[in-house]
Amino acid sequence: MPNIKLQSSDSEIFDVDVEIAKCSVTIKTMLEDLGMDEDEEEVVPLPNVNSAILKKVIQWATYHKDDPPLPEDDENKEKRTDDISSWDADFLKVDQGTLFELILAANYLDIKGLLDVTCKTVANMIKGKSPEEIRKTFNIKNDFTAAEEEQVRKENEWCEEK
Amino acid sequence: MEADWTGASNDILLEIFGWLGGPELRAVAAVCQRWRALTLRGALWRRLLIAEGHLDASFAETLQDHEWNWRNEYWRVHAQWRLLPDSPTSSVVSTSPLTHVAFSNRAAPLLVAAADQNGIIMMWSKQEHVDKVWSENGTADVKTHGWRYVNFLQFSDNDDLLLVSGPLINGGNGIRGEIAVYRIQGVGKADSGLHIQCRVWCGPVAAHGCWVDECRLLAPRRLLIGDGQAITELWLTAADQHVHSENAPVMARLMRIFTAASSTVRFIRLATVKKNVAVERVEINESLQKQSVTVDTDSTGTSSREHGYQRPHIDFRHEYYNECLMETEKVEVKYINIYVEGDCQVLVYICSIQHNAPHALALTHLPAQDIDWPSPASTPPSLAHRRAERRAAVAAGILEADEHLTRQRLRASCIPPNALIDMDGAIVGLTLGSDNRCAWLMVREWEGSFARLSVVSLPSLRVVGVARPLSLLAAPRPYYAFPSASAYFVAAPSGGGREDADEVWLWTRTGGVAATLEHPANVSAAALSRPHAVAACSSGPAHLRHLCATAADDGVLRFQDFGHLQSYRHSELALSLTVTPLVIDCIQHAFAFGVALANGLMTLGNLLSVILG
Repeated sequence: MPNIKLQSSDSEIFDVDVEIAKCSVTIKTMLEDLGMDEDEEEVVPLPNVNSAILKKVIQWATYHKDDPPLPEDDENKEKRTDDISSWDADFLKVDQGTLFELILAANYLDIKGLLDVTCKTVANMIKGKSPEEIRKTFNIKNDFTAAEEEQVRKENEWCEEK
Repeated sequence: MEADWTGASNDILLEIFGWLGGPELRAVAAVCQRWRALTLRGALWRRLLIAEGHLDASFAETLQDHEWNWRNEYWRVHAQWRLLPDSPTSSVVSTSPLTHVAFSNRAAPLLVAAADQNGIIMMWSKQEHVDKVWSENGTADVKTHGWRYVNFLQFSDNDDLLLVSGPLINGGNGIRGEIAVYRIQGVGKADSGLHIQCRVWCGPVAAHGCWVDECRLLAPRRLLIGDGQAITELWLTAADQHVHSENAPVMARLMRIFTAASSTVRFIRLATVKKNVAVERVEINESLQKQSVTVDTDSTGTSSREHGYQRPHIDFRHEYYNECLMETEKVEVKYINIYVEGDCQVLVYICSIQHNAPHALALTHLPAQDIDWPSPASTPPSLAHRRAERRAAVAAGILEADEHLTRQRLRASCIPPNALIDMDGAIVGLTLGSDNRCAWLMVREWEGSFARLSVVSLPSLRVVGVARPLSLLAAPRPYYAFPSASAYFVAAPSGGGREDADEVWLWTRTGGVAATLEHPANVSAAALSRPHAVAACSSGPAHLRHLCATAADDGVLRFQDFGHLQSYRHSELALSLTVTPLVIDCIQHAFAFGVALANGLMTLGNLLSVILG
């Protein structure tokens, strides 16, 4: 199996199986479009991903390399967030900063499977929480004016009756 | 490592929010301004609607996102019904106050007819419910018949004919009026129009008369028998008199009604009650029972609107219960015991017991099989014929020679109602539900300016409940306040608490207030169209669309379009939504002159065609 070299933002080089690296649509497109020959010892620079995160991404991609391709984004299907595999769940038992960086990396590298599972994890952190609890979880400042707050409260009132 | 979520791009946040359901998105919207702005993105809600089977994906592709507020749609769906944000609405303005409005029975093409104080009947049609445009479908001016105006409109069962009734110019104070039947021709075509084909007496005017079937109608006639007592005769009348009789009436007397205290019988209606229809819907639903028990008797009606919804105030279990009961045993109604089997016709009218104001609902069961409906072609025997018969009877000793129609005999010939329900208030409007299970009455209380909407079960002839009181303008109305009931909703005019503004309250059949529809004027009538199924979802449940029309003294006919899911259940409370009045483009029509002229010509043509055969 040919390998390619990926360079993180902090200049660390990772030697990765091409097939595994290609789970990133960004890398795949780069290789194909830019005519990067697999035989050449070229280094693919990934200036948006640091080494710690890139290591995690490669770890995830290696584990999932034999996964069947994900179906096209189907709007008709209800999106479930309770179907995260136990391996993924363990893999994502990380601090919030790492999780956030993983989402950014998955988004940048265009790895749909990783993006989905990380977003699901964050969505699960939101579920069942009140707005105040959400703010606390994600360290967000409440920037509503009193009038806006009242408006929001009114809007939410009747649907909470259900 | 600390995450800086404020640094996340919109795309990332939307990616995360895409995994959330409706309630979570609501919570997210309350977190901070930026998150709130993101949750207003239609795509999030559209996806939820599709994912939950409320919206067909391929259908959604044909809709322009910017035309829809998917977030509102989502919540409307979850309230089990919804008002459509960009619904096909329009209002047509007459120069004089509108007195009544009525929808056709069919939904496609949908016809709507309205009448104004100036004696003009106007009709519009549209082929599809979703069409934005109403096309004019003919007008008529009843003043050419010596009428003052029209105060009641009713489409026949098959929507071919329009019954109108109103007072004559020289008819005294509403004592004498007429019923006219118009044939509706060329719906949606260039030669569309209204052509008169029958005129028959109607007295008192407020009795209106009504359709019996597609070709026969009930026409009331008032006979004074002295002492402020009167008898109202009901005549079964053919609807195509000009065609069949060369202007001689084709009618037969059906029954006489005696009214003790007053001269007027009002709101004569006939309902075919199919007793089996509702029985299958008997669900003594636990949750509904509980709600009925815990009904709060707050009578102001306005305060509870602040809470967003109202609980049912009408105990339909009584109706169901009575229906079941009647299957097996006699049911006691107010005055006499009756027992009815199978389908029956119920004659509904308003009369007076103690004083002149109409305050009592009279119900007479007419077992369908026992009614000897004369055929339209038969004419009653002539007076000469009847006198000859009478002489023959006297000669044969069957009849005493001096026996003549005394007041007592006349009185004895009247059929008393099976039930007479004192509504304790002036009845200003009445409608029968489309399935004829209930009569809905607008009852103005003797004291104060409040009116209530009472529901009377027709199978069991008793009051089922009272909808939460409406406020009605204190000023006496020149016309009625007609409510309207469809299979799902009831609409009733109500004072909005301000001098100059009425609104129309929309109730679910279980009595929950669904919405208030604004119409800033004195609303004389509300009309609900028959629901029209919209196949928006091939996989999910179909939507039913309804149209509510209101006619008021500002001459505006206002249409409000709304819909709900077919999966609506009795037990599910409809939640109130703050209804922003759906924007209505006012089409100013200077009707008075052009129409009068056109009608004059049309009527002349009619007369000629009648004369020439």
